[in-house]
Amino acid sequence: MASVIVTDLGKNFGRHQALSHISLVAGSGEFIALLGPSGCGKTTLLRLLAGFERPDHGSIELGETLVAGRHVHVPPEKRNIGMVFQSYALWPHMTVTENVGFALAVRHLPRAERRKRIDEALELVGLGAYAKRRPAQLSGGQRQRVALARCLAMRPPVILLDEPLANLDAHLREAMQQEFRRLNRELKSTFIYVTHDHAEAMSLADRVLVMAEGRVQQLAAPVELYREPATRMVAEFIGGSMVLPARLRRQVDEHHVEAEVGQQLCHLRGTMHEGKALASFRPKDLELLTGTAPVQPGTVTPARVLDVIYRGGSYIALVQAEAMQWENGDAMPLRIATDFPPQIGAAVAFRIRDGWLLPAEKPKDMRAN
Amino acid sequence: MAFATRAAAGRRRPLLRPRGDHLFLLLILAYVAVIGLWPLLRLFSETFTSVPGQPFALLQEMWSSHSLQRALSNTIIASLGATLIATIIGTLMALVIGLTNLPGKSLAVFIFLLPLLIPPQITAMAWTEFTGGNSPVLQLLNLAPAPGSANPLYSGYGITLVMGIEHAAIVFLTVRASLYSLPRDLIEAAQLAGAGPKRITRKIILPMLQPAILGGAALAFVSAIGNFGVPAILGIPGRYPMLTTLVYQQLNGFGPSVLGSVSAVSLVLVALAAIGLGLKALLSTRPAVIERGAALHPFPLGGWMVIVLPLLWLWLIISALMPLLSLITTSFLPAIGVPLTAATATFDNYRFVLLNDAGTRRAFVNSFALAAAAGVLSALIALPLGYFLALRRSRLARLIDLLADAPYAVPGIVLAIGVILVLLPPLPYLHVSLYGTIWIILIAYLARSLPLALRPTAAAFEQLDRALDEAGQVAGAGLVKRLRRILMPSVAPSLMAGAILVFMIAFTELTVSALLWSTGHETLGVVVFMLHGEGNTTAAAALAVLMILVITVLALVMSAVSRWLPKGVVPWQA
Repeated sequence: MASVIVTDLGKNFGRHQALSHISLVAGSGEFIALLGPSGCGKTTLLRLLAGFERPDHGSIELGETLVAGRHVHVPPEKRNIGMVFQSYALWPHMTVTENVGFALAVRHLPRAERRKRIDEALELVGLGAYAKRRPAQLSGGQRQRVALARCLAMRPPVILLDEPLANLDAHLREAMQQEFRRLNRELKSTFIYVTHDHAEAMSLADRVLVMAEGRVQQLAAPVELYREPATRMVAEFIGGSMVLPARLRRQVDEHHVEAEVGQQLCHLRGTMHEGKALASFRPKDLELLTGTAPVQPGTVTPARVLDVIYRGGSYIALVQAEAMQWENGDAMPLRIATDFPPQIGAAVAFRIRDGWLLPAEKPKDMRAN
Repeated sequence: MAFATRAAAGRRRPLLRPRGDHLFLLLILAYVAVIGLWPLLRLFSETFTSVPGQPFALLQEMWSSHSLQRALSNTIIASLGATLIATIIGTLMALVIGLTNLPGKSLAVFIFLLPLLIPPQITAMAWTEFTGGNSPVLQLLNLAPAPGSANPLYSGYGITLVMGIEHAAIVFLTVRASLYSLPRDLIEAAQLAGAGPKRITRKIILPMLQPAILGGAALAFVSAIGNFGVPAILGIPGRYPMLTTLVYQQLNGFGPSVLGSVSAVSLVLVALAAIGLGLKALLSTRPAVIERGAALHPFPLGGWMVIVLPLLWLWLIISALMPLLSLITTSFLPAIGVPLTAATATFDNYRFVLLNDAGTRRAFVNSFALAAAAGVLSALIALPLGYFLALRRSRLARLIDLLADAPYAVPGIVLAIGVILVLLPPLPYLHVSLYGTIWIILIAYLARSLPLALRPTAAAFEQLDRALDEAGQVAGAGLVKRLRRILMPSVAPSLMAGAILVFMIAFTELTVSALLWSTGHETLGVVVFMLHGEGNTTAAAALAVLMILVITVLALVMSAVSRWLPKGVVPWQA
């Protein structure tokens, strides 16, 4: 059952198009990450879901209810959603208990029921002993947990999280990520999670909605996003792939295409298409050849080592193939993972082992607003 | 896509949205319109319609009147002179306080800004006590003018000087705010370039302060135009009429029958104030962001310290402490002319104003009730208005803010006349007139105090994390509940500061109540003025000292809570 349905959402701030043609269907209990660089519109989308902003176009349904659309705007206080803010937004003049119990008091729940829910929520986040404290007396991680408990006590069907871990250090962040996974599984609430950290999005979410410049780039499970990015932006932004031009030869089988990249022929995953062909590669998709062993011509591309960077356990060699540059003359430096560092300036070669042919670029959406 | 963008941009956001929240704002708009704008608009209609068929008759009549011409030129000359004095003193003080490593800055600033706390008529009284033939201080120093000779301050020069010293505080505050907002790296870059403190002040700081200095001067001019207390105390005995005292004397002498002609005079005052405020808007740009951490490194005074420090304190003693001391000594005299000694000193004046005089006792109750009501009610309205203005950035709230400034920006005496015009005729349906009741004073106070209460509240909302409110929304709390449970506790110190500021001004104010009071409904400002006018100077001094005491206690309360307030809310903090 769908719990969040976003249809063709658009939002402008003045002349700036913050969001256009965003559509999303989130299943009940699903964990969805909104991922993208700052300014891509992910926070705007979250604020539209919460009801702080009104869309200029499109509609939002929560559960079975239309909450935003033409002539419809259900204010945030009537949407029954939970939200965890980046700043936590704990009310400084209230104790932990009062913060967590506020929404329940607003709903006129009986005292005993309130007590029970507050205790439960604090127990869930492991803060039972801190009920009497005020936010100022808590550490950053504890505040984060109170913010979460405040949201859980409402038992909302949908929980929005706005970069909730951005202000925590790396160690705490990891612990909280596991908490989020666990709570999502146990509570069966839908989580919509905004982040600009792709590693966080990939490790947390069932599906990731990648956004750029107010548009959807790709909505897919992390594995698919990683292996088969839909656009150049996704390829470069998620996991830092290199995008190189390819000349397509033929479809080898159902899933593979033979293509010419640099000075070599290789097999790419994907399907043939017309127009400009771009393929994405990760550093470990390329093999660095430093030896003098003879190679078959057309299976490798010669290059020169520009720099070598140590990356925990292995090296990344920055190489430049003379034959490879963009049409505008820009250099096309490549990053290749290798266990043995080559000399800087050495003449080397590389061989392509794997790669993904990006689907044909869709023409920009021409629909009027 | 370009088409879509243009279509979207062409669709402007409507000013009003049919939402519950806006009902709140509309109610506040109605409040501001009724108590603030209606009186001001009535001034115009009274001026232009009271002679049927001849809209400009009153203005022409006033214009050719000799007394108006004299009052107008007096007002302009004295105000320009006072502005010049205020600008020089205020700027110098701001530079000394803001740029040097002088010790004891907080105390110096507090003394310098006393005129913000003490109402003009009391300042003027203190000065007359200081410079008069009976001046206890000057007598001690053997400098007092001969008994019986006229007080030198009862003149245009006296008015100019006292207003200039009083309004220096305004220039100081504007210049200091700008000084604190100067980017530190600009000064540091000049230091690295090898410039010394004097060159940096002359070539970098002063040019950058120029808009603030001119803006402060414009504000000082507007204050001088509307000043009633100083010309009333000094100009009436000195036969130096200004526009405000002209209005007062005409209305006092002839009653409501001259409302039409004093409306015309008021419009002249409004025009002068508008010129001043227009100049300020033109000349000065608002300081961008005032940050606590951005204060400049003070320049060490070195050997100049032995000159600057005594000069500064000499000035503070002469300009602020001596007049106050004279006022205090006068309050202990059995009668004017008697020298103050241990044997002659008496508490009779205090006994008189606190216990024996029914009018004074009533005035204490009236002023206390009026000031408290104005403070609390204005704070209650400032809370939602400040919320919509600073946290929600509502355009309607910005409009209301602008409109609410109008009754505060015009001289108080002008608003008082507008309020009389509106409330003299019986109220519709109720068939009672509020003229001659205490309510007319309260309404005028409310009209003038909303901006005072709003500034600190809006500043607090400006600093508040918007998510605190949004978290309340998500939790399901409606506006009223959020205002009560989340927003009011969050801005409580500033809200209280706003209420106290309103109280402090209203408790001692004279300009508005001078025209609106009636027997049984006197304010403290009026009673002090009357006692002084009757020649009971010693009792007037005692009452003034008591008023200053009350205000000082409140000022200390505000200083004590100032660390919970946004910077700038407590002006007398260095």
